[in-house]
Amino acid sequence: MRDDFMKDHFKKFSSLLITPYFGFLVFSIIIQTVGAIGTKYAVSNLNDYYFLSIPGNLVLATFMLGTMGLQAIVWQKALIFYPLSFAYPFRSLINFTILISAFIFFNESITILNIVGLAVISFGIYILVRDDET
Amino acid sequence: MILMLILLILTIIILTSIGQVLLKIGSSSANNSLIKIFTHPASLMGYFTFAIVAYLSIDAIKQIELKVFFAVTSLTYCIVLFFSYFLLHEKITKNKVLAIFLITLGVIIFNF
Repeated sequence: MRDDFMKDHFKKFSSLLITPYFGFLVFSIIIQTVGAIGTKYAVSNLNDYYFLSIPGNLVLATFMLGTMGLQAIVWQKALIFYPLSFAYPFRSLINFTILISAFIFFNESITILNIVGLAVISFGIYILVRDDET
Repeated sequence: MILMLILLILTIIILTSIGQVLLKIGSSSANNSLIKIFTHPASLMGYFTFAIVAYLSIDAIKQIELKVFFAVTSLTYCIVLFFSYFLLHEKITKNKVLAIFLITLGVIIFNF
């Protein structure tokens, strides 16, 4: 009985992963990570950076808006296929990709508490969105 | 200085939530015509709110670690729930309260 349950669960899960739309989900995460890394790089490396001069900084503004726009479109595409209860918890992987890429590019630390915290957040998001659907 | 930073991040979280609720109001405004949804005053205000959020986020990202920024903005989920309860009259269930508790706990653990 329990075996069947696990099998069904696995089938359902794998049917969500093996589809062309899965690319949209992953792509959405990658775009957002690249956007965040790029923005952080830009603000910490531009010497003539002032808070109020952002509109004048065309490269940064275009990059940010570009990744935001592209991200929104790709996310919409993914949501056509995926139920929110899968899409949103999956999207919380962004936290992890940011954690790792910030470690690689900006020497930010990764602690065990960071990882545990993110896992708890992701689980919370899963419960929140799953409840919405039923 | 730290107080200002906390205020900045709180503003970002609250504005993001307001933006999402505005988009929801815009997209549930009757007929399913895409153009009408996108040009609905609430939708336009939502996009404007997101523009402000993007602007403020740049300043926040400059001052704090990237990982912290992303973890803390997860609190948006909690604030959205409150707004959708008061403004959209959506129900709050036991599971949702548990979820909010978990997300908040996660953010605290992350920063501990």
